[in-house]
Amino acid sequence: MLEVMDVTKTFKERTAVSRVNVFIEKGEIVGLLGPNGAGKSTTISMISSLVAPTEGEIYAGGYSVKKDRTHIRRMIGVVPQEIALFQDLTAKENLRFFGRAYKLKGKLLQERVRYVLDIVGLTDRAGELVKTYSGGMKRRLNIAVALLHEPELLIMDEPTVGIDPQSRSYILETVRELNRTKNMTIIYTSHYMEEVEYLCDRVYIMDHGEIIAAGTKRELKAMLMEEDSIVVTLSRSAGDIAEVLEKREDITRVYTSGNEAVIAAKKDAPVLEAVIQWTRDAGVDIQSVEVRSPSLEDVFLHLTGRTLRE
Amino acid sequence: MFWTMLAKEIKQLLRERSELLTLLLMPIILITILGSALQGMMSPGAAGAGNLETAVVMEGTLDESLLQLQEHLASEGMPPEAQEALLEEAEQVSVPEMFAEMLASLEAEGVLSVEVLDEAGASTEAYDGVWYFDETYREQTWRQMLLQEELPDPVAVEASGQFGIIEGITDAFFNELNWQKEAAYLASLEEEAVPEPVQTEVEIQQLDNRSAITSFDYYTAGMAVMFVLYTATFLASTAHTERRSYVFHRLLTSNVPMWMYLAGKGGAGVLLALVQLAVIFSFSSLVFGVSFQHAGLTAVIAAGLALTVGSLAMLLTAVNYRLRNEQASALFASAGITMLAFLGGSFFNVSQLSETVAAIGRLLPNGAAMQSLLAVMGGAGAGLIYPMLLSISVFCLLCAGAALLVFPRKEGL
Ligand SMILES: Nc1ncnc2c1ncn2[C@@H]1O[C@H](COP(=O)(O)OP(=O)(O)OP(=O)(O)O)[C@@H](O)[C@H]1O
Ligand SMILES: [Mg+2]
Repeated sequence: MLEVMDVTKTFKERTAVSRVNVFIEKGEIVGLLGPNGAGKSTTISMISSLVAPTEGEIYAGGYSVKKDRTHIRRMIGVVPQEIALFQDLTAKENLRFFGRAYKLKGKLLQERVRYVLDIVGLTDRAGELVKTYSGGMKRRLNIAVALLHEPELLIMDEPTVGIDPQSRSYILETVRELNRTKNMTIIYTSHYMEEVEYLCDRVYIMDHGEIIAAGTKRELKAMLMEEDSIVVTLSRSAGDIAEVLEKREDITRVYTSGNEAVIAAKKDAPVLEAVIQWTRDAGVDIQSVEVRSPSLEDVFLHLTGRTLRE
Repeated sequence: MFWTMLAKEIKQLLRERSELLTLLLMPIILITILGSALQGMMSPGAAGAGNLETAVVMEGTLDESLLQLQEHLASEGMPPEAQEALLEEAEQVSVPEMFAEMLASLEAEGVLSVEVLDEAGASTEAYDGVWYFDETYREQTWRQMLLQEELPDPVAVEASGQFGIIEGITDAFFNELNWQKEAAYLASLEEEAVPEPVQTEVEIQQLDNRSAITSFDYYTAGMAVMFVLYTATFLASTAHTERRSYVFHRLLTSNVPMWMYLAGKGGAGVLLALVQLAVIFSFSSLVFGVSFQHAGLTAVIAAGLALTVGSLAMLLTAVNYRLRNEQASALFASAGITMLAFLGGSFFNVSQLSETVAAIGRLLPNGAAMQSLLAVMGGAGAGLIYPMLLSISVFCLLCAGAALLVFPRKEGL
């Protein structure tokens, strides 16, 4: 369905994307995960033929992005990271406009507009100006536009940035539903782990323009099979706990942020004692301790030493 | 897609109250204000200057008139020395001669050309404006001005052609004359009598079928050709918003060709400009009685202006896209249009300042269109709009060509 082969994009001096490989089968939901500036949007722009790769090849449905732009564009629907809508037109007017851009007309156009409005749950508000919409409603309409021409491949670039939990779960359900009922192939970009974890079969993790890990969720987490994550919340700043604990053999990494310390330790290692010892010495109280199996967030932490939203 | 884009621009404009205000209300307000303020005060060379042909008809010579005055003074029993002094003064302030002198200096400035004829009944068909001073005129004005005699006002007859320029010149001259008289009076307060202003009754006759241009005519043309340009900057600014919000990218991913996008902007410019001109013209015509004389020619001029706006919208859009900001169109809106309007004569006739500047102004599409509109309002024939058609064609081709060159091909949108 989609093959991104050794693709590199250089803007003047800066390499935004470097030798990226992505392969996606029909009907998959694949996550593209990475912090700000990782190169996610640039990769998507290349797939959707808006930006030409400096090096490498991209094929979608057998068409080359370089040679068969028209075909590729017909095949894919792109939900841009930005709200790409006319703010002073109504939802319906926006949909009609973009529908016509996709060469839809008459009855078919009407039907498609009604259908996508229904999918994103905006039928009741379709006659209102987009600028009067809430952030979540705009995001939903942003998705609806990309669905008008029934794309085989839907590429969503952070479709849930900055919206309320209700709209977010609505969108997540919509994506799932599209995949399940229409067998739509979906690339879902986010820096929210939970979303990717919930939706995607496979995940590509990007950082600094490179794919640093790829695989199914299970495969990725297997990297951390030998580890436990212990999350300790303290009564005050976690301070120098990392320095002290990382000296130990059975602790791979300590990540602190505010009052919280995430400790990656060998499975079943007796690290709690060490933590309690440290808090006594430092005169800090422990407010909670949680031992959890590794998440994608931990995978990212493991790979880069940073959290995704850092 | 082209029509879809047009419909979209119109919808957007209708919902942008502040833009509507600029595009429609502002010109109407300015026509009202400027038109009323400058009503009947169209200054010399107010419009269409440069190729006006005028004539002054003076019956009798200065010497003959001086002789008549001398006879009159003698019959009043004035002593010969006093007669001498008064005659000397009279020679200096002979109104027809002063008037002809002023026309000659206007001629030197290239505002008009003037011929002095000494006989009534000379053929006046060939002139845009003719002034008559009959043989009693000098003596009568002298007796009014120098002897403060109560006499009926002398009559100067003015035959006026196009552009209101003739009335303008007459008004300016007599206002100036009165002002000088009063200044002279203030400078020598020992004189008791307040000098009598020269009351010249001006009879205006229509010369062939051409009509005079009013200040409302002038500013309808001036403001229309100016404000229509803001439609282009409006479209370029929505284009910038469309790039910034990635709407444009969305159009590209739906396989709308780039040239179609530009064409849509151009088409919207043409259409919106036509509507705008129709509104402004209708308003002026209904409220101020501005008459366009020839509907067909007016439509041709409006179409030319609309094409100008369309191609300008394309160019500004392309430049905004190339530079990835809207500084170009914003600068054009804030300074460029004002400059073009100034050069083109939207505010006042720049040939009063410099004939070179005015010539440049007439080459600009807005200036050319304005001259043509004034010519049509003055009842001129189709020939007068050819220079405009040429200027506008060149401008549109240049703009559209530059737009295609400047508009980014694909990279770095
Ligand atoms: N047109 C461009 N010109 C120059 N540099 C660019 C351009 N587009 C992106 N970049 C750079 O490429 C890098 C990757 O940007 P990109 O937008 O792909 O990141 P991202 O993963 O989508 O980040 P985010 O989560 O913030 O959206 C960044 O350093 C960015 O500054
Ligand atoms: Mg991005």
